[in-house]
Amino acid sequence: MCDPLVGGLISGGLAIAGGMKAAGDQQAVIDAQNNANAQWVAYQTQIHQEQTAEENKRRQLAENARQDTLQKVSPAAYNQVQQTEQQRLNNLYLAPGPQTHDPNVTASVALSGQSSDPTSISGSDLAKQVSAASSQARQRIAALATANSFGGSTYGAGTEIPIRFAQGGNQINLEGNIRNADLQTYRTEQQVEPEHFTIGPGTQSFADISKTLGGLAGSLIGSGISKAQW
Amino acid sequence: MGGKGKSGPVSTNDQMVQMQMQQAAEAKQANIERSARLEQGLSQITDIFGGHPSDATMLDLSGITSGKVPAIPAGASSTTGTYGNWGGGSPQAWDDATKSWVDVGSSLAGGYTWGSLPSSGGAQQYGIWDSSGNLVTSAGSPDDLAQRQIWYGGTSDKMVGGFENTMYDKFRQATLDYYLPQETQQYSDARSKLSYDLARAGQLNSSTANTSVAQLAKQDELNRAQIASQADTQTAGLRKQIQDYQQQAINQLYATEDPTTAANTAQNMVANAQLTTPLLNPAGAMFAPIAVGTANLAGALTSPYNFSMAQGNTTTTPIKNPDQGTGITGAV
Repeated sequence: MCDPLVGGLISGGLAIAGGMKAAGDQQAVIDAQNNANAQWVAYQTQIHQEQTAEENKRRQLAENARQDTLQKVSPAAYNQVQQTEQQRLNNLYLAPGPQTHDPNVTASVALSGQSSDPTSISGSDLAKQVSAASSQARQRIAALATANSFGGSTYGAGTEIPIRFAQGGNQINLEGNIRNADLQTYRTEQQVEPEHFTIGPGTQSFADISKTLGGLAGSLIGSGISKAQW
Repeated sequence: MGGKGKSGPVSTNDQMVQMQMQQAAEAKQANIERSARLEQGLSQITDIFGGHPSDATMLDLSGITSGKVPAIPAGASSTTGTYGNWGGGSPQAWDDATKSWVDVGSSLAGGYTWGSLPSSGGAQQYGIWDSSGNLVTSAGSPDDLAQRQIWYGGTSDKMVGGFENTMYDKFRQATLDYYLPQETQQYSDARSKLSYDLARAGQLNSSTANTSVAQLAKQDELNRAQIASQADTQTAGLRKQIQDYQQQAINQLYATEDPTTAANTAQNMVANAQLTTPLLNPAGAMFAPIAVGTANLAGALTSPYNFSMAQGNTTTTPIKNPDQGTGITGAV
């Protein structure tokens, strides 16, 4: 039977060596974990910056479309649409097709057997009355053209402005849709977790053995010292 | 996330993390392709309904065939990160063999290129890039890609194609051509009747006749204007109808490219890949073995029962002092 003090010292030495080995392994694992955490933070920062940049880009495109739409439906643009349409409608209403009669020529409206000679009394009166009637008709037609140019004529403000809103809305919706998809993709990327390291069973066993040896060393050394004192 | 330089036996979720990153990258690539198709789809619908500048050119895609797919470095197609230069110029991929970036796009007209896309998780996709390196559209095969209609260039304000104003003019004129002859006939009938009535009354050349003729002419002009107004309002209805058709086409486009379904699939893929990983042991546990030994040593030195061991007690476990505790001072 060897001296318990010697055995204790050997066990203690092995325990210290084993403890240092286990500690070194665990420190390496901690370093690796810290490195992985740093990489994960860098990854999350990168995707966040990319998402923010893309979000800003898409939001700006949507904002541009909104501003463009706003210009196209502004009071000035509205007036331009209305006045252009008013002119077009006026021309259309006055001459929608082949003339039934020429409002400037009295003869074209004179009845069969009726004098249309503007030099005669009857003809002169007929010419005046036809001219006056035509003038009244044209005033009413112009009023109709003006009124309809604000409303639902082909290119009237009531037709054109909603179309401009719809076209601008299409661009804004597109950007909004892409932003939404980008955000969902970003959320997917965010779910990537950091790499986790954990001490393997070998290192843990080594630590356990070292721990047991440490206990044994303590007991043996204590016993050895006691024996020596005795 | 791959932590390197570790020593000793350790376990990690490295493979799972790599898979998550791969799936996240594929989800991102799929989203890039979807956005490109969405923009191209909206552009196509706008072209179809509103036309394109008269001096624009349709991109010639006849060179895109299955037999002419540009070669890419081995492994590059399955790894999103190996593609680069998206922001400008022809797309490139990293060739691990030559350690250099190589062009992976085949030239088309107008500075456009086409080629294979990075993996988006499914079958190989193919895409067209513009001269700035932006993905314009994608498809599942070169033949499908060749069917795309892409207009480029053109600065003219004059739009051609689509539903042009001439179509609305034609509709309006057809309406007028239907109603105006009827109005003309009714005007002619009314003038004849007025003529007969005045003749029978012997007032053909009277001021009453003149007034009646002028009123009839005025009514004729107003009736024709009213018909023109109604025809134009109907034309406006047609224009609104066309606009509704365009909105329906856009709605179908969004239904085709629903982002929710695709994103949820990707999210679930990543979420399901997550592992329940064990926590690291606290750093304080590292010195537990030494602490145990030291405590036992101190206990052995101070215990009054040590004498019993010297007197023949062979057990290695000293008889405990009830006040001594376990002797373990470190955390386990």
